[in-house]
Amino acid sequence: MLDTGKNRLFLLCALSIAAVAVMPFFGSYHNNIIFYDIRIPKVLLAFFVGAGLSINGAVFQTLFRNDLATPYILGVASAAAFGAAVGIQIGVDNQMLLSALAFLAALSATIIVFMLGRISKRPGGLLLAGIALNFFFASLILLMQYLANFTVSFEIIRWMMGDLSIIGYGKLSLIIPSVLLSSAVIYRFYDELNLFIAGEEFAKIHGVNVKQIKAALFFLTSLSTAIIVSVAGPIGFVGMMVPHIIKMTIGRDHKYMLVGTFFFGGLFLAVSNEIGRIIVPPAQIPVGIITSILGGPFFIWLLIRNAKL
Amino acid sequence: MTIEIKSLDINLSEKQILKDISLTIKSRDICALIGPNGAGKSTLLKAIAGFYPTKQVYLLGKPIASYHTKELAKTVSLLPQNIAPVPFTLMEFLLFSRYPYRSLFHDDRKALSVCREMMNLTGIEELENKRLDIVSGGQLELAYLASLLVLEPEILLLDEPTTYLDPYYIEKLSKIIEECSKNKTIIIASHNLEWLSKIATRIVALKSGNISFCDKKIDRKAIDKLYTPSAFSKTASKC
Repeated sequence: MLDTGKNRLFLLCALSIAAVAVMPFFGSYHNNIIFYDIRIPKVLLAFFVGAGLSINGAVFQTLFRNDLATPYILGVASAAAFGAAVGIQIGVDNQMLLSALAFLAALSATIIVFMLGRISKRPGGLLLAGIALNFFFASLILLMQYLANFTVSFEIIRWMMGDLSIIGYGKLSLIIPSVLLSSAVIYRFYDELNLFIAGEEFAKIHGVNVKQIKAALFFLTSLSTAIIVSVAGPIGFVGMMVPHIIKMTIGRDHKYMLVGTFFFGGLFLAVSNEIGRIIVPPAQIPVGIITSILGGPFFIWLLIRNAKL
Repeated sequence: MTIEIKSLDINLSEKQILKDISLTIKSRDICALIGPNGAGKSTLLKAIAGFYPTKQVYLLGKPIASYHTKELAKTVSLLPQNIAPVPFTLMEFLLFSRYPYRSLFHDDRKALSVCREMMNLTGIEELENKRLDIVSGGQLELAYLASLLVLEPEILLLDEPTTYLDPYYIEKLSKIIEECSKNKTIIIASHNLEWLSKIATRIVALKSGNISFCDKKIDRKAIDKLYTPSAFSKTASKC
């Protein structure tokens, strides 16, 4: 049954939905408030953040034709972190306000990168502009940490580890519609993404309006990443690793690969978050640490196994 | 006239590649495009395929700029010089190559039968479920050719199609081209003169961005002169 990609995809989707449905029931029962206002929203937040970051990563890997591309490659995450760091520095303690600052910074970085990419005529212009912006904001954050006092500096580091703690449904009302909408639009372009794999010239010959569709996809994924990062922090590794695992198990056809990436990304982050909660109670280990500790060795194992095949 | 070019100039990064090219090609022609390296063969093919914004190229009587991107892809198709292995099976590859025939609310019912037909025409049925990153160079070339044929274009442009092919595949390619020429206009840019002289119905020679001569068949003397490096000649022929 596991011999074809489509069967594996079906199994993966069923497993993800079942896991997400069961997860809130883990742990001892306290009361309805904890169940409905903490556990359910937390699993949902982790699922949609993971799903969104992963599908955005898959799009970036195809558009840049680079296996190392992540949703953060155009500097969106470091800009968001910079926005949050500024907020922490000036003493903002409202979570929503901090997210708004992070989003504003990420949005302006996206627009700057696009303008720079447009001015530059060379093919890698967009990528180079993104990398430059990434370093620029990373250094600004370091500078702020160097100048800040210990508490502020610690808070900035903590923000950059990624945080999926949530109470109530406020954040979810933003994350779920934006991830669902952007993923649906991305999925509509699976033919174009497949054609891009054979090269932009090839896509153009087959009737794809390359410039327009590329720009639209870049902007959409950057926007969606900005929203996710501003709420959950820059959770690393998921967006790079999940698409690869799906490519190795389900195949490269975007029609199936994008669906698998969406569900597996969500499942992976939800499970990581659960593990972070269980491992040293009552502390919650930041999910970014778990994803890399779990994901790194698993990814290497998969690489070795596939090299033998 | 399937293809009509009226005094076409192409400049790429401030260098003039094509100078005042005028050329008409009849329907069902197999036109060979020859000339030394850097003569502008690939650029001319790309210009006909609609890669550059120009008002001097007419396909089927319509200027290329007036074509919609998808409409153009159904009219003219170019096999590029460099092709890369892709991680898809042949069937997957051909199915999404039908892209311009699909839209959000319109199902492409003919897709499967056209893909099968082109697989048969190019003789690579056995690759249907094989991934195209483990096939030979010759098979990959034919797979790419099939991916163009599923677009059902009127005009087929081939840029150096024999580079990666052994004699067996060149023979195969000749048969495919012959079959395609029944309902298509074909232009082939190549240095393989012996092969071209067998299949082409017409020869167009380019030299440093100009048309050097046009002929029905390959003439030894003209060829020797064509490939001898010389100062750029001002006598551009119109064909």
